Amino acid sequence: MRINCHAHIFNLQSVLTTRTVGTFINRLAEIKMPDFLLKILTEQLKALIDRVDDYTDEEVWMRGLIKKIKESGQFGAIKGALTDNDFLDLKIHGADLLEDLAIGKLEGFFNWLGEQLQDWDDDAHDVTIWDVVDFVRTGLQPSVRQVTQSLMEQLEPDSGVVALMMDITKDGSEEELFERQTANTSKMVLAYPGRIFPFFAVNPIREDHLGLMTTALEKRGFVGVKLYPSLGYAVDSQQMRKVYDYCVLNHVPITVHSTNKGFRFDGTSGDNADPEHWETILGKDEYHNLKVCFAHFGGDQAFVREEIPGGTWTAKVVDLMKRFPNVYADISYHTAAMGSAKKAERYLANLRKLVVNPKLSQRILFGTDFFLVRARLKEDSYWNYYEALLEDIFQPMATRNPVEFLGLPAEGAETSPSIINYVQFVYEHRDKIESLPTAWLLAEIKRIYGEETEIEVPGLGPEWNWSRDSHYRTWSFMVDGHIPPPDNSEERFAQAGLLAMRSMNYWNREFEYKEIWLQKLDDMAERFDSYLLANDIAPRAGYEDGSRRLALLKKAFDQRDLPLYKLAKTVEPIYRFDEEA
Amino acid sequence: MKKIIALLIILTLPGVALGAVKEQAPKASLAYHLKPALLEQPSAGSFMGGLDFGFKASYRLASSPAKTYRRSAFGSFDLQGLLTTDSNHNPRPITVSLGAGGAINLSGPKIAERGPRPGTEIIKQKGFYYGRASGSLDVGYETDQAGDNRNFIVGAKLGYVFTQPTSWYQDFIPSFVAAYDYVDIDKSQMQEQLGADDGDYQRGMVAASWKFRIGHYGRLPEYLTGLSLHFDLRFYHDFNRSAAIEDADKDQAHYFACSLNYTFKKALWGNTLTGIYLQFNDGRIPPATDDDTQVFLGVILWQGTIGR
Repeated sequence: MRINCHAHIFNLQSVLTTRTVGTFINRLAEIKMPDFLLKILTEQLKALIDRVDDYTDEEVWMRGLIKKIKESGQFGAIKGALTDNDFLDLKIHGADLLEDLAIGKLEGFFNWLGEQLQDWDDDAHDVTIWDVVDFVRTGLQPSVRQVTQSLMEQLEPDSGVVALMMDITKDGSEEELFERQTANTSKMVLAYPGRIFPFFAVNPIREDHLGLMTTALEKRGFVGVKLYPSLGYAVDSQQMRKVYDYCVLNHVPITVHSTNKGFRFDGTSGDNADPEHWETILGKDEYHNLKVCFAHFGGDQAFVREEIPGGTWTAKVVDLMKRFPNVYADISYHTAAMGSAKKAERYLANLRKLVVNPKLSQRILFGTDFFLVRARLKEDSYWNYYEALLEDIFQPMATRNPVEFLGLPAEGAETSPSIINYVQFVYEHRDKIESLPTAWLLAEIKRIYGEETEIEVPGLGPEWNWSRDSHYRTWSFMVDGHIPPPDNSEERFAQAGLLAMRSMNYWNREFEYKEIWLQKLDDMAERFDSYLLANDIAPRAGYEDGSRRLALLKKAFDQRDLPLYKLAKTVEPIYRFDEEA
Repeated sequence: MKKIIALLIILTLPGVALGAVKEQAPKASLAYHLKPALLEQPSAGSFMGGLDFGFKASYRLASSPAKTYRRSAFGSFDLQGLLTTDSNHNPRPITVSLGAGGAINLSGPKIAERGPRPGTEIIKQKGFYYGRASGSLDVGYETDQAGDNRNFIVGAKLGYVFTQPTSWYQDFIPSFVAAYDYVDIDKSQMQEQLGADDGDYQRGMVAASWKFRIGHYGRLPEYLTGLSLHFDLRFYHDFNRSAAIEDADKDQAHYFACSLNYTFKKALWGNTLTGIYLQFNDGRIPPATDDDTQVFLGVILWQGTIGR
């Protein structure tokens, strides 16, 4: 099992408020892009926050972005400098017809725009505009579930992910928002049991952080703790000692942000992430066994120098790793080597020097920093890049080392208490799991609860699951007079997902006058639409026009072999289902 | 004059329809198709090539925002037909028409919440369903490919469909379409050949269908639940035709089909066979000119897409 030890599955709605948007915008400023685009992105994010209580989906946001880009003076300058104005006009004209533009076309627009800017501004060579836009777009997904889905779709079926929460807060308010992020992250354990390993975000600015952390670790499927000191707190404090006390006692691993980039509470809070603050903590006997992973390895810049320079955060992390047996580091968001053969060579050489040291080789972890790293490249590209570059040293970083860090069952080692809690959480919520647990998890369940223990999983897993609002609503509409018996009975929900339209009561296309059939399709489409609207499932942006919705529904109901679970999939992009309920 | 009156009716209908339902932003939609066809040429015992085309522009004049008794009114322009390499044997006319109509969905959705266990829900408000009714008026022009038989048409159409049977006796509720056209002959080679001169005439059409889910009646084994019985009835009748036309049996046609169908829940033969049926049919569907009686076994092949 390969594990990405550093990823995020929260969506921006989980963390962005009027108080926190500034922190996010500062983070955005670190991404290399033309100034005018940064300005527009910033304005658009602020506009997004002004409507924080309303849903704004990624397509609407992107359309707004295109319009702003089109209106900007700098863009006019680019336009003037180009010779192929007819082509440009065509593209610009497209911006006025955005109503019908799908994501694919928007992607095309941004790729094209990126190409134009590349000629105009060489500084933007290492990041395309589409990278930046797609990064924000991923974050704008309407739910944690959809962000997770977009990650899992890029991974191999047996890959795992450490999902790090984020608690961007100025004063500990936004409790509801934070609770939603916690709850929805917890649900993903049941959606992908044995593959998602959530780390709870501790932020001592939040008064009840210790209680929340304990509950998350003991009752909600969390297996580790994420610290982000740049968000405005010191790692060495009375409050934090209590966190470490709990973690060391229960073998809970901690991942701490350790680069001078990233989110910041204010101008000086970045220093809180300096690894040297950990010397006194880890030097204490009681914290000798505290597992701490320094995320980003202190930053990637030191790795592309001839030698890792002394005094850098990376050097400090290496020093901590040599001195303390339970200190780890991950190579997430390491993009400095990309695009330069010389830098890649230096990066590899420096990393190899560390790996040959037996004290360190088992404590370097692979991570990507999904979806924040999307601002630079796609998740699968990141995996592919490092797999090719690191060759033989990649596998241990992505397989053996994460197992030890997380305390997963392994030969000769006891499963850690935090993983035992995880197993217990899955077992106790076995009626809500959405896909087959991984082999290691099934084995642990049987070991703890007896060999005869069976975990029943709906045949289609997350593709047809009772906890999904779109799936429940599709079933709820069809079960009244459309799904034939016995599949309309209570215990047949799972089987109903596989039933095709040809088995539904309304289906009679082959045996009647075409005009009658077309009117039946109208009937089905109108009633499904009315059912969803009456149950407060509003259309998504771009689908406010009823005739557009009805046309898509009619097309779906006319597909003889379309199974019910695919009908649910068809309506997901059209309506705003409450996937967070 | 009659044509002008008909045109006026069509042009004023949108206003009437608008008054009948609450206004929402009008929206247009376009649909078109262009596809090659290969047709059997029975008399020559060979095949001919063809081009099936269609273009339909619909304009949603209004749609009620209400979720119960949802209503809609629409206007449409429709052009469709078939062009073949041998125009004398083209079985389908080319038609162009302008229409307007409305529909009402005699239903109200339930309000429900997900229950604690899969397959359970909490009903907060029951829904109801009595079917969907529609009506439209059309004016148009139809011609065969050679232009030898051409008509002006003014017609009305009524429709009713029922898709949600919740008990066995509701299977007896038919879905039907009934149309009545006033036909003003522009040119008729057929009449000339028969020595008839009808001038204007009217024609009516009724099509109805039933689906009896016999696999669900009683306590049949589960593997029989895919069994269903289907009836398809169509009746075409021209009024005020001359004796020559009647004698040539060109003034009316009927078609009746009864099919015993079995739908496979899971497709067979490597996911290719999804249904099998035994059909008896009698009569003809215009423009076919000869009645026929057939009994045959049909199969329905998989029409889905690959992958989940």
